[in-house]
Amino acid sequence: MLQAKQLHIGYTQSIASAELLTLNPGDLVALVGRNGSGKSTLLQTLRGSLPVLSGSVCIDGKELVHWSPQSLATKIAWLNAHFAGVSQLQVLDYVLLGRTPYLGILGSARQADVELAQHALKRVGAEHLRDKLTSSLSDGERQLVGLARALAQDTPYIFLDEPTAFLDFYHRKQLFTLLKELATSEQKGILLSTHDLDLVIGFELPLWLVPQDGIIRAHEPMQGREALEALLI
Amino acid sequence: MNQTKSHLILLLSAGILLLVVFLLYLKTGYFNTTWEHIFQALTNPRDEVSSTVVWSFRLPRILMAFLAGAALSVAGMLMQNLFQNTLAGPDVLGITSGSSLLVALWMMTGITALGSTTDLIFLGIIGAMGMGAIMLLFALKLRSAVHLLLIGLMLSSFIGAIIAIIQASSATQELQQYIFWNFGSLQRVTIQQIPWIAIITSLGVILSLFQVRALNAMVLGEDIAKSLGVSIRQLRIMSILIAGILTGTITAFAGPIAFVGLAIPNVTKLLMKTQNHRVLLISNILFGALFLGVCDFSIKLLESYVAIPLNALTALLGVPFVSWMILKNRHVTG
Repeated sequence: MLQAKQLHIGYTQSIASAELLTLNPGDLVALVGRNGSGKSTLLQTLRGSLPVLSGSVCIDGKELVHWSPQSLATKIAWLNAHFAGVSQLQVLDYVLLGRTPYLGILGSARQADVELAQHALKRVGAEHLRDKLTSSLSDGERQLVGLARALAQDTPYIFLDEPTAFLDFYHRKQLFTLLKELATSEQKGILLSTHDLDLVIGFELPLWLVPQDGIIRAHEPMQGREALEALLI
Repeated sequence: MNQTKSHLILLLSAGILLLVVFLLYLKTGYFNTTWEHIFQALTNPRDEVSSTVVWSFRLPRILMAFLAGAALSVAGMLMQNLFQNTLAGPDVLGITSGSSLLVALWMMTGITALGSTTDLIFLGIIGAMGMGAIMLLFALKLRSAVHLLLIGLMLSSFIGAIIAIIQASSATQELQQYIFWNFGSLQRVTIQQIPWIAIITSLGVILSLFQVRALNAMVLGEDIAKSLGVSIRQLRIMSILIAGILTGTITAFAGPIAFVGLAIPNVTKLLMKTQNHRVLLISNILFGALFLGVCDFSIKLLESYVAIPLNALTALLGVPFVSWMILKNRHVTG
């Protein structure tokens, strides 16, 4: 269980706070709020990349600051908004980088790591991209192989920062479907920040709302877009 | 696997070419030597002119070419990874000029602390690492690759200005010594110094090998690398340290050699088509050694027609290549 209590987040002064936020393996939660409301700051804080101003973030009862970077990397996988691809980096090698926290210092992947990476590609339906260069992928393909990298990292939690930002309607829906599937079948606790209110409502996702007053609250899935919008303004 | 096979073929070819260049180099020169002479000089050196020519002149020079090419290419690979910038390299980032400054001070002001060889190595390394650290501070503030390169360029001219002042106020003989050092030359290295340079270069390579996991993850950017459990701080310190040791040592002995550290890691990446730094490390060593070996061999062949300083030749070859690279990648940011 990933849990934040009495949280105040920000760089030097608090820009948002939360009483209690809980993410369990198997949950798919949408983090929704206007631009600059603190969504990215919250994601950064929850994955231990930014220290809390006050309060605590714990995984399985142990505060983030007490996890070593390497062991934390076996708990939370992270996908940023836009992966532009890297020249001369093939998709399989990219997905294999998800195995980094499990590799020795010389960085050599074992056969088991390669198999896990291949399995992850298959799981997101992107095995045909295996030998392609990451720099030659379309935006939709990049999100899929990114997700495969996160799966190869074999963590109970996956955070995604606006994964649908560069996708067309078809690929957005496809990604949401896949995320929902992964949450249920692979027991992943997935937290994604998004502006896609329609999809959030359509998929009946539970929400973490970051309204303008800066007090982040967890909500049950919402029925109508108007009600959701009203909460954000 | 297919890629592994093509990697092996490329590396094997580079290895064979290295051997060919090595042997041709030993054979070529004013003094006529037969293959028999060379074989004998290498296996069972006697008190003969041919043995002296090989051991005192040809062998140290070609070995230094190989070592310098390998060391500078590995340093370039680390810099490009650290700064997330394919146009980074020890010379463009001003790291080489850090060594130059201290070597210039040492050569032209006559300040010595330790023995002369030890002095030279230490000064070269300290100068390189100091500039590496300064550039890193700038890199933390500047996200734009172009800005960073401009800073590197300006710091180099700043240091150039200081060196000019030292030059203007120094005696002719010392000035001449510095100018020849600045041309970049492999001739002044003695066979006794080669083992030391080889040991330091190997140390840099071994330390790099222990960074491979982090170097590979760093390809995805600092943020992702961090989320994969990589300690960015440690990687930064190690990269600056290793690149400083490698560049500093080579620069101290052979002078500032331009463009090798920038161009070879890029050629290597294009040839090997991978971002696996274990493969890139080995390839940079071989391709870097081969490139500088061929450069110096060409200089030797042309010696009787025109004297080309090593630093001039690497720039003549490096500038067109890097310009082409920039043109080719102009639509790619970063």
